[in-house]
Amino acid sequence: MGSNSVRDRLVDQSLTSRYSQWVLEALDELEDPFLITDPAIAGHPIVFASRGFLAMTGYAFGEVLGRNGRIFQGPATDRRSVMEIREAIREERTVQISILNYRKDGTPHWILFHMCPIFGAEDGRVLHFVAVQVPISKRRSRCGVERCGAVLGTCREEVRLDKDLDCSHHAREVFVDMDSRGLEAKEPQMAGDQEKEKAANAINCILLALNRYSKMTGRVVCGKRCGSAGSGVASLPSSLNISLGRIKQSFVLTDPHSPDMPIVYASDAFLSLTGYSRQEVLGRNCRFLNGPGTDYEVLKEIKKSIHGQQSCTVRLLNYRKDGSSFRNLLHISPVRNASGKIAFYVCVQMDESSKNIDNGLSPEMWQLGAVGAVKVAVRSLSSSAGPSRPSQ
Amino acid sequence: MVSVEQVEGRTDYPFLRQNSGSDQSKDHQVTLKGVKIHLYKLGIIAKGNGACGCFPCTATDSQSLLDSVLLSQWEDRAWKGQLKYDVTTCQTKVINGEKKFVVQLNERWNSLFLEEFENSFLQPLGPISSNHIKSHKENVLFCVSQGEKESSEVVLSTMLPKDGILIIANANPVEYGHVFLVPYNINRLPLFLDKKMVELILRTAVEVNSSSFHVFFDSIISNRSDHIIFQASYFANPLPVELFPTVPVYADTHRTGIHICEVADYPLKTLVFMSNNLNSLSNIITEICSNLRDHGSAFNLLITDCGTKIFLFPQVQSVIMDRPISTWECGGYFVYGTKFGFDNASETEILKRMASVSLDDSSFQSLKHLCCSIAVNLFL
Repeated sequence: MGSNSVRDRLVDQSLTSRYSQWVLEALDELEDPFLITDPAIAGHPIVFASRGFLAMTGYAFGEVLGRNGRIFQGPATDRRSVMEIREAIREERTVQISILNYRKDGTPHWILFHMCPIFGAEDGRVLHFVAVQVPISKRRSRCGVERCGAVLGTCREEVRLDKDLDCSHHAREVFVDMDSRGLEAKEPQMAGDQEKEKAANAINCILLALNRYSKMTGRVVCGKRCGSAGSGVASLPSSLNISLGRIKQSFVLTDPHSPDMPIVYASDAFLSLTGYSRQEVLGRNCRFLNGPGTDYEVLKEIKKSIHGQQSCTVRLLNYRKDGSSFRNLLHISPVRNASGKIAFYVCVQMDESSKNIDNGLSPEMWQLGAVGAVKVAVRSLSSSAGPSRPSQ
Repeated sequence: MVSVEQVEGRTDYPFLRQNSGSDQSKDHQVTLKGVKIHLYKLGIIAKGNGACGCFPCTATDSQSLLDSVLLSQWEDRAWKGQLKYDVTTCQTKVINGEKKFVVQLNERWNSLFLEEFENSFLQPLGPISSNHIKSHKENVLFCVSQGEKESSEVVLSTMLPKDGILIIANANPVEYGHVFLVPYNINRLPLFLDKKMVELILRTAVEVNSSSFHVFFDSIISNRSDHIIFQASYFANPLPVELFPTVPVYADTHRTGIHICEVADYPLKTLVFMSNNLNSLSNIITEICSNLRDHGSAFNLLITDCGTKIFLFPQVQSVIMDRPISTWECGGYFVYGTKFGFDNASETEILKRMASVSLDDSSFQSLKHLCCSIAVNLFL
C-alpha cells in the first residue's frame, strides 16, 4: 500500500532531515546501547539503533528500524514499568527505570532504561525520544519495595509471618518451585550508581551530537523544552500524535483558534489520498482541496455547521495535488478536550469511488469510527496544545 | 442499529413462570424472531492456547475493528441526539494533592442512571426477549458473540444469536463511549458472573485492544436484579488508581500466569489481578467473585489494559455515605452535579469518602489469603 513506503521514507529521513546526514556517522561512533524513536510517525517507531544496542540484543539494524519499542518486551516484563514508560512519553519527560527486556533469541535480561525527549528549540515540540539501555550486571536481589517491579523478597517475609495459614504455605511453595533457571532472570535487578552514571553520560553524548548537527540544518534541538514560539502551527503533544497515528482512515485536524483554521494534523492516509506531503498541508486551510467543480452551496453548508459547532456529512468534489478530482464523502465534527471546550475540528475524507473497505463496515461506520477515536484521544488533553499534565 | 418486525412469537421462560399456560417450546429462536442487529463475531482462539496471544495495549499499531464498530455506533447515536447530553462538553480537572484524583462537572448527571436502565430495559424476570430490544432499539448498538471462524468478523443487520453480549449506549454517559454490556442467553437467566460470561467480557476487552477502554462491574447493583450488567467507557488518561504503586502478593508465572498485587497508598483497599492468560484470569475472578457473593460481600471490578488486568475493590457499608460508590469512583474519578461541589472538591473530602467504604486491615488480610488459596488451587 502506498502509505507504507511513505512511512518507510519518513522513518529513514527522520534523523537526517533534522540533523543532517552526518549525524548518522556521529551516532555510530557512540558505543552505548541506545535507540531513537520518532513520536510523529504512526506507530512511534525506532528510527535509529546504535551498534551497541544491536550487539546487546542480537538484532540487525533492519530488523528494528520502523518497529515499536514494545518488541523488546516479553511475558515477564513488569507491566507497571511499561506503564511508567508510557506515562513518561505522554507527559514528555525523562524516565529512568529498571526493566526486563528480551533479546532476539528470547533470553531475558535486565536493563536500566533511561529515556529523555528531544525538543525543537523554536516551537518546543518533542521531535524524538532517546532511550539509552544499560545492561544491569547480575547481583543478589535486595528486599524492600522499589518502584521498578516485582520484588519477591518482600513476599517471602510476609508469607513467613503467617505460618499457621494454609495458603501462605502453598504460596511459599509456588515461589520455591519456580524454575530456577528462569528465576535468576526474573529476580528484579536494581541498577547501581555505576549503571546510572553510564546512562546519564550516554544521554549527554547523544544530546551533544544531536544539538551540534541540528545547528547545521538551522533547526536546533535541545534537551529541555525552551518555550514554544507564538508563530507557526500549534504543536501537538507527542502522546496525541501517537494516538492519532493508530487511526488508519484519511483525516485531518484543524485548529479553530488560529486564524483561517489551519490543519495541525494530517494522517498518512490523507496524504496518500490527496498526493500532498505533510509539509505541504500543515498550517494551511483545507480549501486547497477545492477546485472548479466544487459545489459552493456545500461549502456554505460546511461553514454553517462549523459556526454552529455542529457535525455534518457532505459530499463534494475535491482535487488531488496532480489535479485529478474525486468525490469526497466528508464528515466534519467538533472535538473537545478535557476542559469541555472545542480544541479541534476533525475532517474525515472518503473517496466514494474507491472500494477499499473490506472489513464489513459501511462507509459511514468507517468514518465515524475514526471520529470516535479522535474524540477519545483529544479528550485526554487539558489544553489545546502542550502535554496534559505539567512537566516535572 | 436495530430493526424489528412485528412477529407472533411464543414467550418462553423455561425456568420460571410455572403457570404461564404456554407449552415449554423447544424452539427458543422464536423468542427473538424479527430482531435484526449488527453483530461482531469473535474469532476462535486456538485450542490449548489459553493466552490471548497479545501483550497489553497497544499490541497493534492500529485501531481494532471492534473499537471502530463500538465508537462509530456510539458517535452515531450521539450525533443523532439520542443521548441526554454531550459528555465531552463537561469540564474535568485534576484535584490538587498527591493522589491526583480527577473530578468532572456535569450538571446533567443522573446518579440513578443504572437503576433507571435496569427498570426500563430489563424485566425483573426472564431472559432477554424481543420486547427488550424493541423498547430500546435506538440505543442498542450491536451484539458481540462467539463466531465459528478463526478470525473475527462484522455482520451487519443480522439475526440476534442465541447468546452473547448486547452493547447498549448509555444515554447518561460518564465519559465518551459509555455503554452497557449485557450478557444474555435466550434460554436462561444468566448465573451470577459465570466463567463463560466473564471470559466473553474479557475477550471483548482484548478485542477492542484500546488502552482507553475500561470495563466496570458493580456487584451491589447486580444483587438487586437478576441480570448482570457490565459497563464500559473510554478514559484516554489512566484512572488515578492505575498510576499507584503496587506491592506483590502472589505470583505464579509458569502454571497460571497470574500475578496478584495490592495497591499501595490508596484510600480504598484494592487488589489487582494480572495475567496474559485469559483462561486463568477469568477462572480466578469468577471463583473469587462467587465466593464474595456467597458471603454477601459487595465489590467492584475494573478491567483495564486490554483485558489483562482486573482491579478488585471490596466495599463495606459506609457510615457517611448513603450509597455505595461506583467503580470509576473507586478508581479515583468523581462526577459532581453542581458547580459548587465541583469548585470545592478537595482531596481530603474524597479520601474520607473512599476510606469509609474500604475494608479494614484484618478483613483485607483475610481477602488476600482467600485469593491466594484460590489461585494456588486453581483448576485450569
